[in-house]
Amino acid sequence: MKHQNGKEGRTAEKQNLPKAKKQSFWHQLRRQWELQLMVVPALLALALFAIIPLFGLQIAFKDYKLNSGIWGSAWVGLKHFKMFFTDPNVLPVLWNTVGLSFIKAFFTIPLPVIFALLLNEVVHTKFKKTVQTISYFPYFLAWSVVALMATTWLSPNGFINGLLVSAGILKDPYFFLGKPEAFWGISITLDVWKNLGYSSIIYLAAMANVDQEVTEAAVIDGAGRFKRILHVTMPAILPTVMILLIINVGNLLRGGSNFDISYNLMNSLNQPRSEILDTYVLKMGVSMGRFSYATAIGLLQSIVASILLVTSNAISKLTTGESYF
Amino acid sequence: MKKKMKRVVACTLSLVLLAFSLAGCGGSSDTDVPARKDLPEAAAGEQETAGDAGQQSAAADTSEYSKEPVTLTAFVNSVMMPTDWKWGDDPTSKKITELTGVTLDIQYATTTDNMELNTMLASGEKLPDFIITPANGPVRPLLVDQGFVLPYNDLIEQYAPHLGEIMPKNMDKIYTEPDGKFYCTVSFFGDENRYGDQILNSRGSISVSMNKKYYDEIGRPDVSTLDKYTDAVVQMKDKHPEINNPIYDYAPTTPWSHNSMLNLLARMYGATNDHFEYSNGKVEMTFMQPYYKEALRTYNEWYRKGLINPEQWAFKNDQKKAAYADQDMLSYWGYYWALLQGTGKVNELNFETIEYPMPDGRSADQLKIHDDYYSTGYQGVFITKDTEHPDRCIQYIDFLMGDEGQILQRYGTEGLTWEPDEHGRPKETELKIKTEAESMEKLQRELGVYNYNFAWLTSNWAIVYGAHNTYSAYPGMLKDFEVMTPHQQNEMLSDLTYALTNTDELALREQIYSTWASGTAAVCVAETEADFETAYDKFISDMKHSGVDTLCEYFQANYDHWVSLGIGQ
Repeated sequence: MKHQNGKEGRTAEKQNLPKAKKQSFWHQLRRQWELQLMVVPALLALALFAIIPLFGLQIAFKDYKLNSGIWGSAWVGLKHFKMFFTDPNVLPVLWNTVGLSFIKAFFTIPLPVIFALLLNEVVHTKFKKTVQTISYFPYFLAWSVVALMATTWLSPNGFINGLLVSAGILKDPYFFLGKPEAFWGISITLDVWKNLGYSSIIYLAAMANVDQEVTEAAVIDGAGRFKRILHVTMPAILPTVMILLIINVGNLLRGGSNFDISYNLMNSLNQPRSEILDTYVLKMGVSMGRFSYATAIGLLQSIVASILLVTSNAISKLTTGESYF
Repeated sequence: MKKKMKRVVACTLSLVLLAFSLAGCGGSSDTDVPARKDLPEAAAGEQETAGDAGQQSAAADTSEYSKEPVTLTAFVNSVMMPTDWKWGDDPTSKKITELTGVTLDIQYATTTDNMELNTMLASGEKLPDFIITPANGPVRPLLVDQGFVLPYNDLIEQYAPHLGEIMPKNMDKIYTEPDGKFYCTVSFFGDENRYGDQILNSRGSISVSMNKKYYDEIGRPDVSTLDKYTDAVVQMKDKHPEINNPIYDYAPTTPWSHNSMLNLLARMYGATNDHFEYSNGKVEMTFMQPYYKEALRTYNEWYRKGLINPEQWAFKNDQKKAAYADQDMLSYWGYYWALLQGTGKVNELNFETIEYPMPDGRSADQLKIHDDYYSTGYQGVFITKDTEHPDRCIQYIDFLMGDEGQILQRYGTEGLTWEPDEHGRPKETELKIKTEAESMEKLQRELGVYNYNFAWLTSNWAIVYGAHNTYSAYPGMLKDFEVMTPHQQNEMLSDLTYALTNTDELALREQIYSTWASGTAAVCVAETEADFETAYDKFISDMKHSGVDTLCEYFQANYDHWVSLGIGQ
C-alpha cells in the first residue's frame, strides 16, 4: 500500500543521525535465512497452483482434448470467444452477474463499516465482545447450510412469512424463492447477514490503531461523537476502505459469494434472475466437458477483472490518494 | 543456544509446510499405468453387429469363463449413497460373487454436475475398471472420442462371444459410434426380442391418482374430464385446506420427461411424444405447438385456484420425501410405484389410480403415453482402457445380461425373495413383500433386491417377466398397471432423435431445455390471464431467440439417420 502524502516514517536528519550502511541484497538474505525459509513453502504453493497453471490458459485458444493433453490439442484461435459472444443466452446472464455484484457492493462495503463504527463506540466491553462474537457465527456456516436455512425460512409456511402475515404486512404468504424479482434482494441479504461480522474485523482493527491523542484532542476541542467519527475515525480507516473497495470492483464479474448463493438457491422459477456467469460456466462448460469454452470465459473474466482493478486503483489514487499499488 | 533453537524450529516448520503443500500433488507417468492387455485388431470391413459376430461361431457358452476371485473397481457417476451397505452384505451380491468370482469395489459421485468424473479423466490417474454414467449425455462422447474406454465389439469377440448372442435387439446398433464400434451396454433397455414373453407391458410411465380417503369423503364423483377432475380436487381442498400439495407433480422441473404432469397434460391436448411434433417428416418442438399452450393454460388455472404449490419447483430431496411420507397431497401425477415407495404404504391403498381425465372434445382413446419398456436405456456401463482385467469385465457384463443375472438383479435370490410359479416365472415371496412394505432401504440392504449399487443392467424385460404376478401382490399397483397399459406406445424413435452426441449440439440442447424448464415454470405461475399471455409470448420469443430452429435442424438430422436405419419404428 502506498500513501502519497508522506505518512511514511520520516527520513533521517543528516545533521544528527549517522547514515545507515547499505547492505547488499544477498547479505540481507543470509541474515534473514530463517524467515526466507519460512516463506519458501508459500512461494512454492503460489508457483505450483497459481503461476505454473497459467500456461494452461492456452486451452482457451485450443480444442482441448483430455487424451491429447495441452500440447497435443489443436489451435482454434478465438472460436470459443466468438461462441460466447454470439450465444443469445449470455446477455441476461451477464446482466445478472454485473447487476447483482454492483448493487451488492452498495451494501456489503458500507454496512460492515457502519457496524464497525457503531461497535467501536460501545463502551461496555462485555456487551461489545458478545455482539462481535455473535456477529461472526454466520460466517462459519457453509453456504449449503445457509441455503437450506433460507429455503425453510422463506418458504410460504416459513417463519418470515408467518411474521409478515401476522404483522399485517402481507395479506397472503409470499413465495420469495419463486419470484425472480426477489432473488437479488435475497442474495444481498444473505451475503450481508453471513459476512457482516467477519468483514467488520478489518475495520475494527484499523480503528484500534487510531491515535488516542488525536481523539482526546478532538474531545477537548468540543467535537461530539458524530464529529469524532467523521473527522478522526473515518480518515483513519479510509485506506482500508479504499483497498477493499478496489478489490470489490475488481471482482465485479467474478462470482464470490454470488456463485454459492446462485448455485444453491437457483430453481426453474427464479432462474431468469439467479443465473450468473459462474453457474453458466459450470452448466455449459465444465459439466458438458467443454473445458476450452469454460477456460475462455474464465480468461475473459480475469481480463475484465484486471482492467477494473487497475482503473479503480488509478481513480482511487487520483481522488483520495489511497491505492492498492 | 536460544537462537539456535529458533533456527531449528524455523527449519522444521518450513519443511513440514513444504511437505504438506506438495502432498496434494499427484503425478502420473506412463510407467505408473500398467499396460492394458492387447486386443486383436478388428478385421478390415468388419461392420456386423456383436450379435452377428456371435452367431458366426459355434454357439458360445460361459462354462469356460474364469470364476477365480477378482475385485473389479467401478465409478458410478450418480449420487447414490448406499446407506450402511458394502458388497457382500446381502445375499444377492454374495450370490453374484459365488457365480462369477467378482467382487465390486464401487465409488460414487457426490455431485450431479459431472465434476468428479471430468476431474478423474483430466487428472491422468488410473481409471477404475468400469465407469457407469448416463449413456445419453455429454459424458459418452467425452469417454469415446478421447479414447478412455474400450470397444465392446473387440472384447466380445476375444473374451465373451456368448454376450454377442444374448445382446438385446438393436442395443449395439443404437450405441454404435462413427468408428463402427459400440462402447457401452445400458440399463433399462427394452429388448424387443423378449417383448412377446408377456401380455402386459412394463410397470409403465405416469398415471393420475387420487387420495382415496379424501376422494371417498366427497362421494367419489365422476372425474373423467379435466373440468370434473378439477371440481373434485377443489372440493377436497375446501375440506382439507391443510394439505400443502393438492395436485402433486412428480417432475415439475423437467417438463419434457414422460413422468411430468405438464408432459401428460400436453399429451391429453394432442402431443404424441415427449419432445417433438412430426409434420410430414419434419421435426418441430412440441412446446411450440398450440396444444402445448392449452396444457399450460390448464396448469396455470390449477395454480390460480390454489391447487398447485409453487414450492414444488424449488423442492429439495428431503422436502419431496416429506411430501410423500406425510401423503401431503390430494391427487398425484407421476410414477405410482414411486408414490407407494415414498409413502411406505405398499400394502395400503391410500392412492387409487383413475382413468386419465381428458379435455372436452378429446377421448381417452386418443391419449398415448410413453411405454417405458421401449426405452433406449439409461445408465451406460463402460469398460475403461486402464482395466487390467478386460476379460473378467466383459464376462461379468455377460453374466448380468443373461437370464440368471437379470433375475438376480431384479428379483434377488431364488427361494429367498422369489419362487417360480406354475409357468416358471418369478413370483415374489412373503418375505420380500413384507420387507418391501416395511422399508425399501431394508429390502435393498438386507435382501439385495432393487439394489442399484450393483444392478447396473436391470433390463425392462425382467420387469415384464412375471409382471402380472408381481403386481397381483399389490392390488393398487395392479390397477395402476391395468389403467396405464392400453395407452402405452413405443416412442423409441423420438427418444433416439432426442439423443444427440455432438458436444456443441448437446450444449445447445442443454440451453434450450433449460429455457423450456424456466419458461414454462413462469407461465404456470402467472397470477392473471393477462400475465399468462405475456409470459407465454415471452417463452416462445425466448425459445426462438435461443436458437430453437437450429436445434430442430440437429434433431432432424438425427431423426433422418434413425429412420434410414429402420430402428425405432
